[in-house]
Amino acid sequence: MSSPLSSISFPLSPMSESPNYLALHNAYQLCAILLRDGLTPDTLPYAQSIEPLAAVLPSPFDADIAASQHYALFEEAVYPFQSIFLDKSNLIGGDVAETLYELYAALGFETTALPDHIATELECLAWLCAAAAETEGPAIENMQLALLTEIGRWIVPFSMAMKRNGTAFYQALADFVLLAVENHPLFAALPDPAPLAAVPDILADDKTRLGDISTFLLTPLHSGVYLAPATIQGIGRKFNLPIGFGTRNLMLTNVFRQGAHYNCVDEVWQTLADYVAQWIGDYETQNAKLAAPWLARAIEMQALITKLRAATLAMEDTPEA
Amino acid sequence: MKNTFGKLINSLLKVDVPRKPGAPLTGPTNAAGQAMPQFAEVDMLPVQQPDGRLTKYPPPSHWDDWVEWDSKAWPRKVARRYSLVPTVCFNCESACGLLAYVDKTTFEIKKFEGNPAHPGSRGRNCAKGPATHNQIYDPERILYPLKRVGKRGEGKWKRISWDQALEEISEKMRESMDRRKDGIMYHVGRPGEDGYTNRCITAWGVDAHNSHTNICSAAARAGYYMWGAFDRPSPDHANARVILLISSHLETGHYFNPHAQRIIEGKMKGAKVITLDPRLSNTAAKSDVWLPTWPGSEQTLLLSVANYILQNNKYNRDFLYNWVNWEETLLAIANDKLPLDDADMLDRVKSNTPSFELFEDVLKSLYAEFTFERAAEESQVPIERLVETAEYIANCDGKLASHVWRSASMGNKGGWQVSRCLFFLNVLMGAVGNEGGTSGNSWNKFVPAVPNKPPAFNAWNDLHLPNEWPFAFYEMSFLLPHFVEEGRGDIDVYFSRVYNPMWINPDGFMWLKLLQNEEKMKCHVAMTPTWNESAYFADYVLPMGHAGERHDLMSQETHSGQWIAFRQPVRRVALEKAGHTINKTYEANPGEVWEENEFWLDLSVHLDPDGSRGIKQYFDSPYRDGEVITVDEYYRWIFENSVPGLPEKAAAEDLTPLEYMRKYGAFEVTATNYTPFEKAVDPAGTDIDPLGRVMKDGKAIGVQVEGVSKAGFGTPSRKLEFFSPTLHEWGWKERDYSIPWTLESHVSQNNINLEEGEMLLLPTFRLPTLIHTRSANAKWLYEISHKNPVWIHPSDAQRLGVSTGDLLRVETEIGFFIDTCWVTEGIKPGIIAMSHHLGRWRLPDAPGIGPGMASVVDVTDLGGGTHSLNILEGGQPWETFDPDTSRIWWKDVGVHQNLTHAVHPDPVSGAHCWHQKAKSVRKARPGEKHGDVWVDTNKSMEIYREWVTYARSAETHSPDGNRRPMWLKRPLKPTAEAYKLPVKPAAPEVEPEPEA
Repeated sequence: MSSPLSSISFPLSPMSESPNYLALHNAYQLCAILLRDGLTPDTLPYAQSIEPLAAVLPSPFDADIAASQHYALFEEAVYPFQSIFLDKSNLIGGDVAETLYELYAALGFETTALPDHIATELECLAWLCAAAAETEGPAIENMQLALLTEIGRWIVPFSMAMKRNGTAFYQALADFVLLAVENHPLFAALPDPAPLAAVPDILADDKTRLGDISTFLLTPLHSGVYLAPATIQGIGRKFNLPIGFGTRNLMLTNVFRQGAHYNCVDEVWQTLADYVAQWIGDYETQNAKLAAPWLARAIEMQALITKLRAATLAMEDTPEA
Repeated sequence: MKNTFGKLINSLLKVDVPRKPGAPLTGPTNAAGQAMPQFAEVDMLPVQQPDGRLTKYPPPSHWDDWVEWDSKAWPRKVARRYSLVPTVCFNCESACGLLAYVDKTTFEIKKFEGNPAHPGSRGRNCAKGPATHNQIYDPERILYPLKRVGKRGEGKWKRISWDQALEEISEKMRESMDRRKDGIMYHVGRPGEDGYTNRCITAWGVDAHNSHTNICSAAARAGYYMWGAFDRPSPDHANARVILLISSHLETGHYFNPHAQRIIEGKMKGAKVITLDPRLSNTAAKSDVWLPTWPGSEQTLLLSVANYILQNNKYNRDFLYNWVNWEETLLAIANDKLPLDDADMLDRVKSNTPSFELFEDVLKSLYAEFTFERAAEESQVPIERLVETAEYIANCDGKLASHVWRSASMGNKGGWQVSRCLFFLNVLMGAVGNEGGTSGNSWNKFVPAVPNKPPAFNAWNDLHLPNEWPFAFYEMSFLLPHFVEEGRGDIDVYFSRVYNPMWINPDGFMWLKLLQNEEKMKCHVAMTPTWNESAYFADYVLPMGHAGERHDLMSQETHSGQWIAFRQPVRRVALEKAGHTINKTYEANPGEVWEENEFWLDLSVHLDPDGSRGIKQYFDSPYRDGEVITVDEYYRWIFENSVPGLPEKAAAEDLTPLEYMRKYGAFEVTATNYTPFEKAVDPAGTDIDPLGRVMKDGKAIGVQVEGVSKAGFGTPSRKLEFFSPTLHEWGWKERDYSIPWTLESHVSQNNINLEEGEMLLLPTFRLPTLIHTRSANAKWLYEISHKNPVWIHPSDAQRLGVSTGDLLRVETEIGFFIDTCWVTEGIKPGIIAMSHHLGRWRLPDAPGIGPGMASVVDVTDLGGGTHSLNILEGGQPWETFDPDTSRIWWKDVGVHQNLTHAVHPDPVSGAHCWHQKAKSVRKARPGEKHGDVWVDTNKSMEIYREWVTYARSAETHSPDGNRRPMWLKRPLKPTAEAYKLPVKPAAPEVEPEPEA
């Protein structure tokens, strides 16, 4: 097996100023800790040390509430894994995780955490920055670029999803993480990201059911947006639709099905179209290099919604396979 | 931006950020240019199973050599080779299949997963199954036979050999058997097997069997048995239209994993789930209709549904006509054995020829008083919910799967009528033994014949089944300390087997008193896989295996089919496959943990080494003359001779029946067994008696139905008995007992004075992840649930001025305890609820349950019959070979509430009626601490004596001179001679006292 690094070659531009890699190490490492553990009595001092975060810390601090907010965000609302955003299965593990695993192995980074968790990726970046503080040369820069490329592929939609679903503290943390990535000294050397993989034509498959459409929409790689449970519940509540509980797929399928039963499926689609439009607007305000593939995908999605809308109206009474 | 960001992060230089140790950027783990280790891939095999079994699992053809990545080596891909050995879970009664992954290099057990070949559990398990791994690798488990060396309860032990244990215990048993036939007691908690131990005990010729059933399921059993001579329901959930549960059966309870998956299947097909429970259980939350009944009102609610069905002619006439003893019922009315309030109806019955139409009118008249309004008032359930329930059931087209096992039946005085009233709905709808209906347990549980079965023993132990409770299901074991206290007897050798009587029974301080009494309990042998509170007070502690460390054969009525499953010592099986020779199972288990099969066998031979007692003959090998049978031979005989279809199935795979069971761990005897009572009876040599029963050799073997001889039921009439002649003949003459009716609970609304501050303490619910008193060695399970706060409704909490986390003092009839409260709308106002699993403890400096799972307590005899228990330290981390024990993050491991429960023996079923009257509930005061318990055993005895007066003794009510109706079930039936009431010596003539 060849090293994943062996195929990576980036045109490096000379640095205009000498970066403080130790400070960067600290920044990435603190982000990783706060993302993985949330605010706890142990991590609170770290959050207090970062100015934009310190300004929005809950006061008084209650560790139980902080734990529940962290759980609600990352266990229930936004799953902080690259696979969730970039794997066509919308599941953790798989090829995306394997890529990260191989990259870590190539870098020599040892971890027992899931490789594509945002915190793991930032920990690895911090670790590389610590090494860069002591070592110079293209090797260590190549390594950082390899990892930055991976992070850059999904950090924009992830931070946007985090901002939409998190408390004020996590909104500020999302901004800070994005800022930290975009201010890496090698960021300018990153190549333009490749377009996202082409979406499958689910309408061409006559076995496509509401559940399949829901899966499609819930897969950011395909839809360009992230639908959290609260977003789906919000659509249901808007039209007083009983959406049940359970997986996002089940809830979204229920929204469509109940929308059909209560004669408002068209309104449901309109609400989804509006939601996608909001994401398009948000992408347009992001760093163009990182956001471009996602913006393009969301625009494609907007067009597809029109077709899906017609298709679901046709299949509303077709029983699930 | 860059400068701003630079300033921002430069401030972070001052922060002491944890830094990952400097792993080299190059080195052995750097994959640049280095190939990762490669291992052969083994794909999971997708298999589509039409009956709902798992669709992906290692195929049996690969079980002898299965390769998986070692999860602990992640992210490195290290392949491990496993021998997959099926066994059976031992953590509840369901007997679900497990598949042990035994490492072929180390012979350690890597994990337990589900056995997809098991027809009951179909590859699925609850959390308790995989947690078997925790139990096997429990750092605190007992590894060697121990003998007490200090005073009883002092906590001083020495390790002895199995030979020494066998020799010394058998010697004490022989001494007892030389004097009496009621001196040995085998008190079983979790049987976990069918027939093996009972066969051994029977061979000893003494009345030794004592079960825990009276604190478990006696009441429901009694109610079912009086209907049809089966003592448990077997609902066909998967095919039902209505699933009616008086339980939290979707998440817990007996057979819950096999049942839950079939309830979901039924629900997926459109079945409605209706649940009666005062508590918003997970099951109630997932039901279509939740009926939060006040405890004790369940019979009334069920009879209101029956009344609706009757008045609207929704019942199944043909079924009632063919299978209910309606003629016998009308005869009972005509003979004034069954009183009717309706004088006109009584006159009609007495003056007309019995007819089915008359019976229908009688039913409508009898149950007319059970209106929805009455049921709503007694149960505190909105009337709309009752109507909805009745309509669902009345329109179920005979597909009513219903179930009660403990719950209301075991909570309330008269609770046995709950199962009788519940099954009444099945009878009315003709939902008995049919597809989607409810069968008797014995129709779906397969118990094979055993080799060389010993004859019934001729003995009766009055400490097991005293005469006061002739209908007890079964032994009155929870009253043993009270019987001994009254001087009714003593015990020479007491085996507590997978049982913790002083912890699990009510009135635990009475048990403590008995266990400490060396005169009355002369020798206590605790057979247990793990330390428990009772084992501290034993004379011998014998370590017995968990699932995966023992042989047993099991079957349960999980659905409409029949199966058997084979529990195996998986490490022994894997070692033998690899060519090792194992003589005794303890050679393959950790330490010298043994299995009971081999222990009982060796003990029986030790009891009668020369055969002079007539015991040894029942342990002769059927295959080797003059040799003692081995466990292999015992099961080989069964599999070859008494499991229909197994030899053929095995032969088709070129295996012996034993090899087949060793390979698959389970066998499906039949996929469905509906309506066995309809089976035709061979008329040869039979007569029909005046009651229509088919008689052969003086025994009823069937009944005539529309001119055809059919098997019928096991009752005296061979029909389902609406009116129970047996109850009537044995002194329960009132209508409230002889037919399905409502009996007032000791905790009915009338008996709990809310205005005076009384409340109802409901202690009957289980937590889905716990196993009575045996979870405390399963770290995964304890991490999920480890405390048992008092559930209390917000309105009650407001009245008492408490909020979640505050301490409550709950006073029962005999004492009090202090526990934290949990304020929730999930319990009815007026009721407090507490799970019964938690509150484990250990004595200071004594061996025992892991410190993370038990409190360290001070148990004090305060004198004058009063006792206290106080927590010195809560749960805490501790250092062992298992790093997880140092990660214990909880302190509250619950409160031992059962110590404060008064005993409530139901006068009919003998069941302990678990619900307690909380005489006062208030916020704890300063100085009152979490876990404090105080009990007055004088009051315990007062309550006990009060409840004994409710019973109707065989001595004064037996119609035939027997201690108990012969047709009622007993775990081990003695000879007919033993059933006879002893003839009391004539009272000496007393000289009249001279007049003053």
